[in-house]
Amino acid sequence: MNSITVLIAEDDAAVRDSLLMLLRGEGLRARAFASGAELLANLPDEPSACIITDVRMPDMDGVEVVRRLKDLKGHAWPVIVITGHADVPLAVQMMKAGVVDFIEKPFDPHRLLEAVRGCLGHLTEQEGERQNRQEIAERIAQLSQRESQVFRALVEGRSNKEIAAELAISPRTVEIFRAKVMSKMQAKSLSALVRMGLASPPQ
Amino acid sequence: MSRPDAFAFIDSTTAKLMRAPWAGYPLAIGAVLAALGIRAALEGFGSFYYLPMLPAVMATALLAGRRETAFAIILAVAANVALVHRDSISDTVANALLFASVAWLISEGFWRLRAYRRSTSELSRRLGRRDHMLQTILASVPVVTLDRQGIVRSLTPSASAILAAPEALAIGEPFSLFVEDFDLKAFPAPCPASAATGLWVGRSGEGKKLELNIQLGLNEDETDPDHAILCLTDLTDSHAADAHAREMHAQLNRVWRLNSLGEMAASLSHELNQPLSAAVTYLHAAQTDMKRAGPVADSAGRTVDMAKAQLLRAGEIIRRMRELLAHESRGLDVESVGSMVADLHGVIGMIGRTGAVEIRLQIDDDNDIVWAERIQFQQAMVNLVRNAVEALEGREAPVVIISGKAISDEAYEIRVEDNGAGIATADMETIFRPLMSTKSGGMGLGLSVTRTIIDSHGGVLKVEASPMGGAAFSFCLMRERELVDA
Repeated sequence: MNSITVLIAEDDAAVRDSLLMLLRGEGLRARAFASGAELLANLPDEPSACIITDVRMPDMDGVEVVRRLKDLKGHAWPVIVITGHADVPLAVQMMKAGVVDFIEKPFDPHRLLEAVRGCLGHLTEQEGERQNRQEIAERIAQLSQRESQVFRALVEGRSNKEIAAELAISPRTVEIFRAKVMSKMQAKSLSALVRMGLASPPQ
Repeated sequence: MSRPDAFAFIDSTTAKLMRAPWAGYPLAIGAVLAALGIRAALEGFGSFYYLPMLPAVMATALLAGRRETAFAIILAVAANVALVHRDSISDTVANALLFASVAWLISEGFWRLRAYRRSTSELSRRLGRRDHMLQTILASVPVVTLDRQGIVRSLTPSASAILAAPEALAIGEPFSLFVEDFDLKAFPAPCPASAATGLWVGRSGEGKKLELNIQLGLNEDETDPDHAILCLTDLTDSHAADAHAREMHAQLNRVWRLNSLGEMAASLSHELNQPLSAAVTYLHAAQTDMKRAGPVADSAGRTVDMAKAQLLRAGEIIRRMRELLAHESRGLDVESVGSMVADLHGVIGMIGRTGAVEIRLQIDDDNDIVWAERIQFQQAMVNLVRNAVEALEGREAPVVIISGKAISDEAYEIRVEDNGAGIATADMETIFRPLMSTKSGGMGLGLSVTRTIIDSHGGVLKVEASPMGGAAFSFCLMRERELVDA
């Protein structure tokens, strides 16, 4: 199930409507809002949306939307800015604020779709990593206390002998625990196990 | 004061006697005794009766009042009656009465003279004061007097300053030396009541060109050598100031035309780009739908591609036009607010006079060094002032206050406020949008252009209700502090 959507803030009804039609026609999930404030109010908790915003809008302009998105919920949201009133200082200001792309109206829809796909690809990647991290965390949670101690020690790069000495058990027992850890963590090799350990540091 | 000393003595003695009322009587007694002495001394030459007494009475009358004089007459009569033997009572009485009336008549003459003298000296004192006042006024007014031939007879210090000619050199020269072709007859025949005026181009002693307004008054007294009195007004500086204001106005007008064109283009391009974007995007969505129909729709898809290309071309044309008309910012310089506003005095004065509005300038010259583009800043100021003045149309006692002061280490705030009707809260946002005028005559670009200018200065144009009752527009400029510290 793909929860990634495209969120649009655009005050012009025709542009808003046509963008929805374009994105949905490409099979993407999209929602549109008539103002920046509305968009911010409907922002999902996870950074699982690509945002398209206009610059010149009443009440809150695009510059302000970008600034608030940065402060909100601690994530870097991928933002594409579309504007009918582009000038160099504005473009520079926007790129500095960390927007992914800055597109002048009227734009070639291909260009916009490319930018959106870029954002979504990035988000999917992030989403994948996030899911991966979550799975690893779930697996770590299944380890017993002793298994968990052995897992952390392995991630830190200790040898069987060192672990045995540290936990006051025989090296043979360490080996049995290590096999159990590898199986529970679904790690095919020691290096895969270490990677998982690094991706999910102990809380 | 070429008055004889005797008069001064009489005046001062009289004044003293008036202050000490009883001092007149010893004087009368002394005078009569002295007269008796003189009479005794003259006894050997013949018989004198009343005649020697006359000077005694006159002296008393000259120095003292009526009562003392009467006393002196009685004394003289008594002395005569006692000393001179008369044959009959009627002789005695007749002589005494004759003496008394003659002496009284003469005394009365003296008193009249004295009163007359007092009033003339009072009059001349008053005249002296008037004369002094007139001299003081004349010293500040450029006045030249000419004789019948147009030769300068006198000139006041300020006239000599205007003509740059020392008094000693100018007197005796023809006035046409300073004002070419000056001719008394060139003035319209002055009616005696009001003076005639005329504009003349003159040349000062230093060769500087002068624009003079000359007011002519002719002396009606045929015998007075000061035939014509000319009052000069130097218009050179005020004409130069007018020219500067006109130049400033023209320059601002040029900038205004460019600014408003740019603003129009920007606004138009924004408005047109929206529907163009929507159209292209709709077409693209349509193409996506067509692709599902398979190869049948290929040709239609290609046609739609061409339509999209044309729409994008329209967008390109708009972009080029906007770039062409965009306000060419020459960048910000270090400027002084006081000097930028001082340049505008003439133009602001003109706007105020047109709207019959009082415009007060309260620009703080301290710490007024800021980053600004001079002409654009001035354009913004004129726009705000003109707006304020127009908002005051039909108001009683209309006032616009332009104020400026440093409000922090970073910012210098400028405010333009009026005591008009103000701006409804609902309109506060829309007034800045182009083509959104609330005025019947306006294009609605003024505030929009002004905001664009303030934006380019890194400021924000704000509007709020003024304590004066109307609207208050304000913005901040970035202060340049290093220059101030240096």
